Amino acid sequence: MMNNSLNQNSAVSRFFINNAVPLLFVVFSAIAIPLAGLSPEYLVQEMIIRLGRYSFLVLSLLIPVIAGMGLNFGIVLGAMAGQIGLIFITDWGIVGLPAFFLAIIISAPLAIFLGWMAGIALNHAKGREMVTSYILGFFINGVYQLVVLYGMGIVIPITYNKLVLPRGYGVRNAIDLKNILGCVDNLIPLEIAGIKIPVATFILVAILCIFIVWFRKTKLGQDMRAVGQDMEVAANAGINVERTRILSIVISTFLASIGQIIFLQNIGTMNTYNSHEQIGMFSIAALLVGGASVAKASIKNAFFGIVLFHLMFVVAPRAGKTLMGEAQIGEYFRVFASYAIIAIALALHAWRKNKEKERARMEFRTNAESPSKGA
Amino acid sequence: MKRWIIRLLLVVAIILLSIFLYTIGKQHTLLIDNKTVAIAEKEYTQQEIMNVYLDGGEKIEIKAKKRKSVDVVGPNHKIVVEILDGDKNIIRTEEFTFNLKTGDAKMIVNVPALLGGAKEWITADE
Repeated sequence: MMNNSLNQNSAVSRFFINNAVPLLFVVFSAIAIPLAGLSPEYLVQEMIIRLGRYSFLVLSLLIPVIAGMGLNFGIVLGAMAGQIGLIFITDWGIVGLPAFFLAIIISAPLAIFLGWMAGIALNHAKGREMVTSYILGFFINGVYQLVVLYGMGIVIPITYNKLVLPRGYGVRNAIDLKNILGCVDNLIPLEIAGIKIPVATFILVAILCIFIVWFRKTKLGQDMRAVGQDMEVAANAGINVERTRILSIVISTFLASIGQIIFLQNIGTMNTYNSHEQIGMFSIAALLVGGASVAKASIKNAFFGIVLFHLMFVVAPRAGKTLMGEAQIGEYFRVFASYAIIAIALALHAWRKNKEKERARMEFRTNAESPSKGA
Repeated sequence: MKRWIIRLLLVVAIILLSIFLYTIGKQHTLLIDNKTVAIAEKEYTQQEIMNVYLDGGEKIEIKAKKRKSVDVVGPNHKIVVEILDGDKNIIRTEEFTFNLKTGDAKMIVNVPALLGGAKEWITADE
């Protein structure tokens, strides 16, 4: 009887521990939504737009998690590759869906190369993949800025004068992407009860989800899972651990480059030197808000996280204005919250790991004591 | 060996796909003129007013001595010209098809020359 209630208590506490971040956000949203006073139609429309805009990027984080490499801050590398593809199609005057696919083709070799480089670097930093990929993002950002700010227009020909800085070389800070604005989102127009749904974007996201589910069942997917669980055991089983880990980062970076192109075709403007910077942080924060952890993430976590995280993005400024009389308070809150979530999630992961170890030790001790008592 | 051949074929297929996407997605700017022009010592007189439709798009009304700019996408195009009288009644309608090369970024289309059968009715904007 007492054992049962203890088990129940531990199950409840485990549920709260495992879902602390999403629960925190559900509670926050429940308080902030009425304060914001936004109509349900507006909120639903915003969530649908943001699901289309961010899903591909957030889903691109899943494969490195399977391979035990944690949350890949290096998706920023893929985002930069995607942006270079967009710069070229804008320079060449390509429009619509052909421009979208051509941007993907141009960015693909670059994303694969950057992913491969990142994979090699991360293999040299086993156990510290997240911080390494985070710093790699800064490093490649420097190279990207050098190429785009000084190389384009001199070494790499750029002919469209609206793209080049007045000095004659380097790409302008803001690029109008009217050539691909909404080319995927508006491909299959659908409106239900006044709410626009980007059907084609959701089809692309669905294809990626199917790919992830299928990929997990493939030999490579199973290898990644084995590597993620225990690298030594996987190596002893004949799996090429280093190659498997590199491939997971290459796939993630390539998917992120497509994700960034989808993201920017929705926005319609590209901040050449900034658009990619926050992508890693926001995508990871969204995934963590959805209940994912450094070691475990699913498609469900991605969608749930995008909705919860961006719900906060939409309602926080208005709620802040209602509460404090200033929308800026809400803005501060949402920026602070996105960084805080990552910090909380990482701390929770470490704490959960310790708890698991403690529980396993206790169970071992109990099991060891029981037979001796019986004897 | 077989693996490398497959990889090579894949690369070739991607390059061909890129060229195809570039061609069908390339945007061209057409400057449509309703102006008198002399080509090879022959004069093609402007129309008082005309309607132009490009690729089944919206009507573009161009008065004499005027120019309108239109963006088109891809290599193959259709232009429909309606010649109007002073009361804007359609006198005659002509339809033409033409192709643009990927390098033709900005072109001048002289409609009177096109209607008159001139060879150089479309020229690059220098």
